Amino acid sequence: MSFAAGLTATVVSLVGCGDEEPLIRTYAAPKDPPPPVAIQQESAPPMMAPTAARGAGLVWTLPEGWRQEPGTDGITMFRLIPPDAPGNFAVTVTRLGMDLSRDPAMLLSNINRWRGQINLPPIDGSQVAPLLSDIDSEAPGILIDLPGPFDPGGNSNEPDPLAQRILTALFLDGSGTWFIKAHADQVTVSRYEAAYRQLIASVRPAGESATPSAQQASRPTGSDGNARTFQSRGIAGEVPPGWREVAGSSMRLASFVVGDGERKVDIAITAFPGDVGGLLANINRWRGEVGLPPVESAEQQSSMPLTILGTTSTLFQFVAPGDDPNRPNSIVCMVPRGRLTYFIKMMGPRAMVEQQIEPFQDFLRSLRFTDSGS
Amino acid sequence: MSQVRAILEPIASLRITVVLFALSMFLIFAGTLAQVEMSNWAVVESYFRSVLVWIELKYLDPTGLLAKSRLAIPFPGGFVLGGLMLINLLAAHAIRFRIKARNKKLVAGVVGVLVSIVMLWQAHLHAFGDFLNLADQTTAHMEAATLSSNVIYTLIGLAGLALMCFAMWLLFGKRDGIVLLHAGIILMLASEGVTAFFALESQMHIFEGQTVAYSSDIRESELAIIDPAPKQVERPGDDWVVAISQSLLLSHAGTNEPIATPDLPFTVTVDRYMRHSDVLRASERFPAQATHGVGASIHVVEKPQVAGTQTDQQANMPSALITLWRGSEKLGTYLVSTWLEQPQYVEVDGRRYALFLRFRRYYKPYTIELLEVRHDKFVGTEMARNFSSRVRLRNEQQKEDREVLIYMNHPLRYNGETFFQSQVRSTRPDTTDGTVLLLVENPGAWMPYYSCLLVTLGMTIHFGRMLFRFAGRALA
Repeated sequence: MSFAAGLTATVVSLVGCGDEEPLIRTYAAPKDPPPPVAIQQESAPPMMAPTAARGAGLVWTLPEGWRQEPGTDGITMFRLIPPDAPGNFAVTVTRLGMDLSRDPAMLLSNINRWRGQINLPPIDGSQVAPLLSDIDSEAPGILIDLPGPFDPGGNSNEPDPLAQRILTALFLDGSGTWFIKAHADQVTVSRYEAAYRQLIASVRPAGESATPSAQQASRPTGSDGNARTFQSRGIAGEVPPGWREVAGSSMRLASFVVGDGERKVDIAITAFPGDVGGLLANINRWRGEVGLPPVESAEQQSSMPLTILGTTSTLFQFVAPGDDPNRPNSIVCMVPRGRLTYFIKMMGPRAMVEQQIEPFQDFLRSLRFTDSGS
Repeated sequence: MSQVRAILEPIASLRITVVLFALSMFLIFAGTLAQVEMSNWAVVESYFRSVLVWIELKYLDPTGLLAKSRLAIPFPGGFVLGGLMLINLLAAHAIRFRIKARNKKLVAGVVGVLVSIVMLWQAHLHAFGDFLNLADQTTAHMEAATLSSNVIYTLIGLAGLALMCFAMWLLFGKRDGIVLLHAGIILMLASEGVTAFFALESQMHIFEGQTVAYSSDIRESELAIIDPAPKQVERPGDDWVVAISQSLLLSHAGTNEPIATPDLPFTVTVDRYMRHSDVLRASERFPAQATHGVGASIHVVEKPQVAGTQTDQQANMPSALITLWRGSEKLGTYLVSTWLEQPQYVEVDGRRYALFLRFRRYYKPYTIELLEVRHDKFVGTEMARNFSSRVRLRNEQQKEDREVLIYMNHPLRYNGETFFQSQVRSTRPDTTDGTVLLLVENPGAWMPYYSCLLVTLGMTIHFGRMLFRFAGRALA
């Protein structure tokens, strides 16, 4: 009896002593550690050499060690990330489908939006000109430098670590305006300013050729079609014999073809944020491409799990109805990774696709990510 | 005494035990299905660590007809069912397992139990805790834990167990085994109570070369308003932090009721709090909701919370739209979000404050510096073979300064916390230069081990005695 009573008392006291946490806590705390600084490699490996990156209409050369990732928010086209970028810092590349040089009011509106981001009051049109400076690049461009309100240029020679700074380069490509923007605290922006200026000075129209070293680095594959490896925007792998790497649209991370003209197989790697409308919508879109009727649930579409890129992925094959060997067929591999979904898709005439199934499987197995994906 | 018995007898009913078991099984079943939409921890909190839970019928409907319905039934939560089980068990003990010892035998039995508990606790602190990997690995403890001391305290522990068996026999006679067995079950139920109320799980994110003194609970956020240059702090250079809890932000969301504290010259109203969110660059279609700070160019959208069945098991990423007021003067509406890794700044009365919605932090009396992190793979594959973190642990108060290697299945135990190697991180392609350590602090971590020990001991005694009795009769 005493044993049971003692235990009851213990349990009741345990349950009863759960103190309520204060809703507002105040305390002194050490400052956060500085952002991570990766150790510089003594010599950059070949894939880290200056890389030519291509947007629709403009080309630029990444500074040594920088990498390029597709944007994930649907608006940023690319994120250009320095080798030891602190936190989430990246230079962002976006494109607006209008020529800002023909619309001063829109330019002023953008400048005031950026000023608002770093707690600066808006300005009027007469104050814009002093902010602009020309960029010595092959593509026409201007640079706008906006240091934040806590500019250390006053009484102290020490940079104020809390002040924000925005560097934006604007380039026109005939029908639209490109923004290459660095926004962070001004210590971070200043740290990468030299590399950033090197980057924007390298911007040129897409028709211009890249430097020889950049060309070599961007196309490590051989010119005879017997390509060995490729690396593009965070993904790399072995290119099967007979496949040719080609320039795809800006949505594609990499593009390959086998064959010519209408008798060709197209292989594309793309990445999109989120689940891209859901699995069923995608399956029905792919089915529609080869002339198959839609299904009501994703389970009705046969699929095969496989492990590539270090994760469990799903492989779908879409076979066109009928016996015509020229009807389109496709094979799609879907790889979820963090906030992105990667699609590796092969599409072409049935007879040709069937011939390429084995090389496609080898290709899938060879893929690897070259970025952190965080 | 008969009145007490009259009250306890129905409470101790075995029928109640069976019903409670059935209800518990149903609660576990429903809680498992609820993870289709809710995160593991949300289910643990709302189903198993609650008094009442509303079970949505859509989780139980295999036809899918109720998929969009919000119909729900009330059901007793884990605390109620666990508590009733405990009461049922204690009542059964009180009625069925009476102490038979009297006078000197009674005194000897009680003293024997108490002494055996002390002996077992000493053995736990100096030997068993090391075997079970529960003891703190402080320098002082490791220096004291020699082989001879381990052997001595193990013998003390074994003697304590023998003494406990003898004392229970003195007190309860032939029912000693069954009493020990039930004591083990009571200890197990109590251990879940201790875990629910006192256990804490958090993460420490460190990159090589960094030294950190805090861990973060990724299940809870807080709005930190930081004065980076405070007038009075003990250590020069420290920040002064006002941390507003998630529960206060939630209770004030959409109410226009200001959150005020004498530590700040302004008040905060919470226009909206989103438990899980995503951020987009603001555009005509998705305009910015904030007027000041970096949020003036961001559109934030609320998302359903992360579900327990999702394979990637990401954390919820909360965001909030807050407005700052100095009296009746509106200072601006800010978007604060766990997506934003940089704080935003607001200047009030000549002082500058940083606004930062972050995962709730717990500051430690020690620091951890990451010296090296390794992510070894099986040759030719991307399959992980080993994750390890070589860290430097420093605690000025306890004169602790040493290197520790934390790797899979070999956690560090320090300050009542266990540091598990959880993930690795990268700032560059093809490198691993950051680590995530999972910190678990559970003062009841020892309880399940000793609960199992008591149950095993009790069953061995009880069924062993029955076996001997049976064998004796058979031989006779």
